[in-house]
Amino acid sequence: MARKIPHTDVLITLMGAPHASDRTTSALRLTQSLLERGASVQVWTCGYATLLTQRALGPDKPRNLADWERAYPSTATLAEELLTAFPDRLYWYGCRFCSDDRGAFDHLPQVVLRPPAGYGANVAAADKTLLVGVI
Amino acid sequence: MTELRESGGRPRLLLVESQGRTASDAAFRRDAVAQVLAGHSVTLLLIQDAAALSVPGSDTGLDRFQKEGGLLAADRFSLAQRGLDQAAFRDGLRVVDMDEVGGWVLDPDVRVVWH
Amino acid sequence: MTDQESGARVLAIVERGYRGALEKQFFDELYLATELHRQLGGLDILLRGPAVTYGLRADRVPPLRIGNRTVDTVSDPRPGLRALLEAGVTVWADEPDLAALGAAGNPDRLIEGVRIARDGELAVRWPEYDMVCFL
Repeated sequence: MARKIPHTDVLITLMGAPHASDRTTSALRLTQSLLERGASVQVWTCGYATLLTQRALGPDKPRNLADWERAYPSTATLAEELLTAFPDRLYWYGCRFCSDDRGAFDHLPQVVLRPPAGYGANVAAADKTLLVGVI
Repeated sequence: MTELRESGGRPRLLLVESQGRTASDAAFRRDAVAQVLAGHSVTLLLIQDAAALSVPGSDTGLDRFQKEGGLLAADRFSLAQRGLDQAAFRDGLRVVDMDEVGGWVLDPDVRVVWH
Repeated sequence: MTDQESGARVLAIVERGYRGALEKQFFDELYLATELHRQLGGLDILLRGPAVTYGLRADRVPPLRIGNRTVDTVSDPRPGLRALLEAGVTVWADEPDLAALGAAGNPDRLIEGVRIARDGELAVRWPEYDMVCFL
């Protein structure tokens, strides 16, 4: 039976590799702003953006040798921060094909992997869809 | 200006340009000019590398965009990252926070295209 | 003469292309476009910038030798474009970018069915689409 996708105000489709530009940063900033305004948001990651929520990243980035004691959150932690701060209004989906294709598995428990063929249902469940980046 | 809404309910376009002068083409900025010339209501938000185009004289496409009536905005965070937040900006350019952009995105009359 | 409107709900603009012939193989942005065409109620595509060459007639992309393996599944935009045309997608190629390649004046150089978009021709039609995105 097909999963029912909860309705949201916005769907942000985040495509393309993190680290290559500030695209991921912009998308997370926009997500935060929308949620702070009371909106409901889906994030659907495609391509290398699916790697953002891998549990293998751990809670923190590898150590900064120049600042040994400081903790730097991983992107998985940042996604978890958003999901924890805005429960019931933020939904995080990942493209299963892209995730498998890039060897990503074991995502945060809140992340729902979806087949590419399911994307249309997520679009239908949102009042507005943005595509940010390219695969 | 805090709203993008116009009377009549015709969708306003929020174009988000994230690529700066080193991008291989400026076609999206030309698209923005075309929209304005066609009489559509357009706000072009400069974010990430494109924030550097907030500086006067940095891009003839944006000169034309503004001259033809397009509304130009720049992301404050992107400017601050680049040490440009105290710079002299193009006349008429608005510096905005992501909170305001969120409001635009949520406006049912606004369509968003992100480049 | 005005072009017949396709009724498509989404305009997808492909600017760069050629992102991962060995990594993506079959799942390039044109394959994604086929999915979106099916799921989102119809797609129009505009090829421009470096991706305008997707619309040129050409032989199959040659296979590559990697180690002892011949990889004959490298991404090939032309079968992908033909599949889109067969599925009913309207495909445009930007005239100024074709002209820069010396290909604007000769329709025989284009894949059959690909239309030439004059400078700015599609930009003014953006509000007719439910969504404009980049792939």
